[in-house]
Amino acid sequence: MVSPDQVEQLTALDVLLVRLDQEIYALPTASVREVARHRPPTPVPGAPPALPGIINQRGAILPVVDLRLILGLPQALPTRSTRLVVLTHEDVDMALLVDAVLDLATLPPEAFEPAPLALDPARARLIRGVARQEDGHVILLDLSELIAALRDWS
Amino acid sequence: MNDVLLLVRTSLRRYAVRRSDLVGMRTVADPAELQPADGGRPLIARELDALLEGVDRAEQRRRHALIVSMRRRNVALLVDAVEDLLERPVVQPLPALLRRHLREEWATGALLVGEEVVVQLDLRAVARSVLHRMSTAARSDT
Repeated sequence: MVSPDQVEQLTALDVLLVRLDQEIYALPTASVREVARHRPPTPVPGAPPALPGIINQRGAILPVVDLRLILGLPQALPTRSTRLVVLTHEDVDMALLVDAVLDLATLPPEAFEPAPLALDPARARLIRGVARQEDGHVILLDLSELIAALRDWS
Repeated sequence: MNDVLLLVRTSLRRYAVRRSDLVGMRTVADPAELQPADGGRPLIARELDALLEGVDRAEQRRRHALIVSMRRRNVALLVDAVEDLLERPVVQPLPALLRRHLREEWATGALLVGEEVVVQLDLRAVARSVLHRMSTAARSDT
């Protein structure tokens, strides 16, 4: 979980806003390679539900990560708005499954707050900060922690 | 050098398997036909999609048996069809992020067949799991 000191270190960030369930999450655009329409991944025998399979993205085989399940949200069937956000971060390539891609935005540093203390620690670990907006909050995901959590996760 | 791969189809999807993992292939109308004559090496037959995908095949049709030779017995893994042979396949390793979480080490890579992503299987590892499960079940019965 981030401390108030860490939040203060955040600078304005260009982000891609995505929706998961009723929540809006922000992914740093520096790590986003592209957004693709959902297509069913090829399941890999023995893989856990949060890693529902692999896709071919321009000749590369990428794992699909069901972000809902990683964040403890209920699983959902794909809809017309479901998207795959293809990321490269710390030499890891993956496609995040999200309910919808909403917009690009720049989040100013003064908008950030620490994650609520009441959050489940496993989920709070993945949150770099929460940005206040007129119509609600945007949750900034920490991609380094997401990758670390995927590596540690059992 | 890449091994020659066979493209096989189960009821749900296609997989690639190494031809060198097999000692034989047979087409059978009934898996009971696979049992050896007296004195032959014992053979265990299993539906591949039941192992991989938990599919319960109530309706048996003409099957293709992929036969893997293990130390004391053969294991026949049954599939719907053997569709193709790939002589120079370009197999990519599975992403490390995924590989580390696999319950069984059955999937070893992936390749593109046209636009389709096909998982490559290690049938010797699958056969080992079949025999391991049988011996575990036998121990728990005694």
